[in-house]
Amino acid sequence: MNDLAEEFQLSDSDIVTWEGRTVRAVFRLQVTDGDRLRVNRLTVNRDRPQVLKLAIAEGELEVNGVRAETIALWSTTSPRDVAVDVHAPEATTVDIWNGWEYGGVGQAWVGNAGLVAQPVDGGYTLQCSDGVGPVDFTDLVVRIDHVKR
Amino acid sequence: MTTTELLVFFAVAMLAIAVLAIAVDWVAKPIRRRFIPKMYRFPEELGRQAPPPDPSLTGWSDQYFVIPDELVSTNGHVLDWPNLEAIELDDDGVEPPGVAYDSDDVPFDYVHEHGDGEDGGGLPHRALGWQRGQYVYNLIGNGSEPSVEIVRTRFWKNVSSTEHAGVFGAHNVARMSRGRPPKRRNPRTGRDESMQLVVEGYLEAQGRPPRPRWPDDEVDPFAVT
Repeated sequence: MNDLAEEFQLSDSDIVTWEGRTVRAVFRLQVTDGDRLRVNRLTVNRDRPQVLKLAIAEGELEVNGVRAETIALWSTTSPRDVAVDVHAPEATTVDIWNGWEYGGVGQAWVGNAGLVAQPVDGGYTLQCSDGVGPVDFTDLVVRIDHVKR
Repeated sequence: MTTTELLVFFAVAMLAIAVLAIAVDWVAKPIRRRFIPKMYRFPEELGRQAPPPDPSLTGWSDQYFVIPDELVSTNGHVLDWPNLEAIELDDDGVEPPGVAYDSDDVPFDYVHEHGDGEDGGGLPHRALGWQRGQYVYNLIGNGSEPSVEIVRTRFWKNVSSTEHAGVFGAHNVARMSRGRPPKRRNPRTGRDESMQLVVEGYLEAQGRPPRPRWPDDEVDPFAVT
């Protein structure tokens, strides 16, 4: 049986169906300048550090006074609740995906890595599986509230 | 032209072709032979055991080939893997620093963990020759320094030999077993990208094995600087 990374590779797509669930390699949000994403980490796998990564297509993201195109919120360093501010010249997108540390090395998009996005009032929950071992969408669960300008 | 003449002509033509083939083969063989010794620097590629080193030349002794049983899996590969315990989050949801994860106990460092002892300069001692699972900076069979490319190849072969290499997928395990880095599909670019491995010389690296990384470019806004 193929792992999720192989399924993504074979389908040449960012979205595959796994056991009836729509699994994504990347979750994409439409944003505009001044939007805020509130990231709330709900659960995290205790065997390995987990990370949620956010990357803006055009512009910058600001977290904790730091501005960058790609932000990594590690379970080992970031607080449970984080505000991400969008600075963009125009409407753009923010890509969100999960990663983890394995062997002292940051990993993503290999093995059984993938995430399931579910809409909730005001945002989404992202249930993420890291690539280690069987698919487990409880490795990292976050809620993202999209506060529009 | 009579039938006899035709047969003679055909025989002469075939003889000429045979002589030409023999000449080409004779010319080519020395060239091939010139490259064979380089291949012999990797005994495992020929299905052979590494030749025992000469202790008088290297200070090598049998103890450096002894790997603790607890670090060897049932299939003979060298392992070192921790039994991680659950980590309690603090009030801010941040895992307490310093107790969570020990990167010295995981596969990318295992070749260093069982090392080969230490030499007088405090660096890991290096045996002669190399087989999967052994120290990537081991000297090559003739006692000379391994090139950066050889160290890189050894590194990936070592990673492929761990039971945890499966996280990269079967295709990547096959790549790594040939000494090639794993690849992944970057869904943001739609392109495949290889894991990067910056290899330094043995002395420059202080004997520490190289550490791979994916070509990510991100910022941890909460990292301690």
